[in-house]
Amino acid sequence: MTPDIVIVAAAVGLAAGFLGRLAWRKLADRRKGCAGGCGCASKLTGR
Amino acid sequence: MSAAPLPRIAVVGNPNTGKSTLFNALTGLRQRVGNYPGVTVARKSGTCDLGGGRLVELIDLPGLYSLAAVSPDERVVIDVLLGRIPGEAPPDLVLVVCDATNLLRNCFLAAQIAELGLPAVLAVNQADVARERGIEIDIPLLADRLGTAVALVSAWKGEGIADVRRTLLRGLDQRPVLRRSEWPEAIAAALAEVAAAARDATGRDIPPALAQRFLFDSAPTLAESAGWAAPAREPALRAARDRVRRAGLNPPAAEPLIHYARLRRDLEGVVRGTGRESRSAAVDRILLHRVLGPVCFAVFMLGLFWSVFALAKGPMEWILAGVDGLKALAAPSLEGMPMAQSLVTDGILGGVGAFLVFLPQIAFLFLLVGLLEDSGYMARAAFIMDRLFGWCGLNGKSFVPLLSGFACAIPGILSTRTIEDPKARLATAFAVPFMSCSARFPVYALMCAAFIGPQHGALWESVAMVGMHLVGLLFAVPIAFILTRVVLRVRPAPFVLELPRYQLPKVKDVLWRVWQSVWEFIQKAGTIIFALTIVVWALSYFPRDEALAERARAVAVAKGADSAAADAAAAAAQVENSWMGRMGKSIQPVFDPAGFDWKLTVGVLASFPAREVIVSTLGITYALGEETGADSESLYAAMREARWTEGPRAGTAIFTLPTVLALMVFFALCSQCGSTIVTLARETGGWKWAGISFATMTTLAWLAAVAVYQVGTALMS
Repeated sequence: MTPDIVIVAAAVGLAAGFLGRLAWRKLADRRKGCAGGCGCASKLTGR
Repeated sequence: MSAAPLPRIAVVGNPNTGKSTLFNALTGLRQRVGNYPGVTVARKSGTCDLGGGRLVELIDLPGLYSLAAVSPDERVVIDVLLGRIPGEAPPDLVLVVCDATNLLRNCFLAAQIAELGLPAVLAVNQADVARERGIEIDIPLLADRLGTAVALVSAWKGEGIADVRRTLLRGLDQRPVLRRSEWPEAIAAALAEVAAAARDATGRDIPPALAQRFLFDSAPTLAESAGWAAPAREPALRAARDRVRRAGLNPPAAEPLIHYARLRRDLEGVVRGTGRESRSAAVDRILLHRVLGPVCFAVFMLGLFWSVFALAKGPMEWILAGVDGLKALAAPSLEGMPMAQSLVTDGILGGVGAFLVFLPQIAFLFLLVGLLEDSGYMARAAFIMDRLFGWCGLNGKSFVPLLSGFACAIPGILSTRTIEDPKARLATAFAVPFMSCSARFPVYALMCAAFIGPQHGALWESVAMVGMHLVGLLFAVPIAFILTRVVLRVRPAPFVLELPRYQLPKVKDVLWRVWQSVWEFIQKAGTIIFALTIVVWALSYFPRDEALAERARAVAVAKGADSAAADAAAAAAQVENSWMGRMGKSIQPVFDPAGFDWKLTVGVLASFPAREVIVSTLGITYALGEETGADSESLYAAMREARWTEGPRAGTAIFTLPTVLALMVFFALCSQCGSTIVTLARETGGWKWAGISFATMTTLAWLAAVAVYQVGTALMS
């Protein structure tokens, strides 16, 4: 494998992993009964 | 060993008395913000040094006019004061903040707090405004009449803060209780009856203040939380209220009648000078005028957006130049690795750069809105809009959530909790996502920067911006009308809106809020947008088909294209063949009647989780497909030069004025925010209304976009 594809695969994998983790955390917070808006669900996004 | 807990002082007062300003002045930056358990009412507390190292904890409670707790905010206040919050004892002292220009009405809350039997002191705030209006207050006499320590303060100007500290110290040392009103015999007997019945039903003694709430409030929500359920309490409450009626008093009116009668006597000689008409009132005669008011509002909004464009132009060019510089720096260092080079320049820098370029506009928008808000004008804007909301059957309290919706729908939907009527609450929550939130701003800004500005000038850019902010409102009004009047049949409710006086904005506070919004925007660009651009880039880059690209290049060369044009044709063929391209092309027929090509369709689809993603998506698809060079201006140029390649419109421009307006209208109306849908589902207790909202908004967006494109195209042909 060329370094080119390794770099790209790593970047895409990290990005997809980050988005997946974000979605999972939001879902977990909703399950716990967080109403949102207080910031606890979104340390990653800053929203 | 843990330190002994600090004495706790609860700060209460009517809304707009400057309570939070005083709280900030007393605590400085030593504040903690959280939520009360089970509700989304913010709990703000901070440490205050009363002098000589004597520290206390101040708790800033939500503003309220009376202890007749109806909304969750108001219930929290009484729960805190009665020590009914789990893990929290009642406060050691209550600081009642009153407005010096309206002392009588503010003292009503103080009279109710006296009934709680808690030690309390008074801070009479806005002394400067009272002075300006010729109102004099005899503080020692007031202290004597109310039976407690009183401080005169102007928290906004920072005058008298030391006096408040001294008053708090005296309050903690002497624990004075405010003088109570005397209840007529019939009411005293009825209160005793209620207290006895509640004790029998719950097995616990209830404080006299709660018995008053049960007797006087027509919907005693506090009884529920005290464990005295509705059917069981009704006979006892009916009997007690009948006793009050037999004495010639109306139970809900008795409390204000008795308190106000006593307070008028107490304030006799305390307040001198009736107050001249303030400058604010004179200005309001124009700004709140039935006809001139809305005209001024429209002019202010046009001026606001025009200023945003004018002020942001320079900084936006600097960011564009910065992104181009980074691209020029990155491209040669990744020579020999075409994939990684494309990921960095077309994907990350193209996508994130296209998004970040709107940072100055966001900053100036928040700066100008912040200045208007701090000056007191936004409350007038709300008053003007309230007439419209009232007409379409929305609850008077709906205007705060709807106004919040212009920043972000989520806090807007959450703030519908202050509306007591569940049907009115639902109708408001349904209308909030129609308000043009700040995430739509970059989408409008992109279309304005690429098309409307260069072709029609800054004035039309501002008109388009104001228009797009009104589009949502234009649809929300009839929808709310149908929902409130036909579907849900909401009863109209009274609503109190207090207009703060006009004042010079506090630049430091406004700049702090601007920084918060700018930082949020940067964080979003660095996290979600960054990650999404990589994913969108990958979907638009793979799979690669070199043979297909070569064929496209050969066809272009055969048609007489130069080498740059042939490269562009090859790149376009690769993007069309990518996963994103295939998806866009298969769904494009749905959006064809609105004039969207497959790239716009891809942008629209990628934007369903969060609408601002379209900006970075277009940045990537155009950067990958055009090979027009490394500068960011090329996104706008590429969009302007984009042509239909097939069908009856082949060879004509994709981005005509009708397409641009159709796209903006689509984004103004479409339900493209995952967080909003989830919040709506949570707040309405199920997915039904969230689903209806998503379907309604998306269908309306499509229909409106198609109508704009078709009518616009017919008119222009």
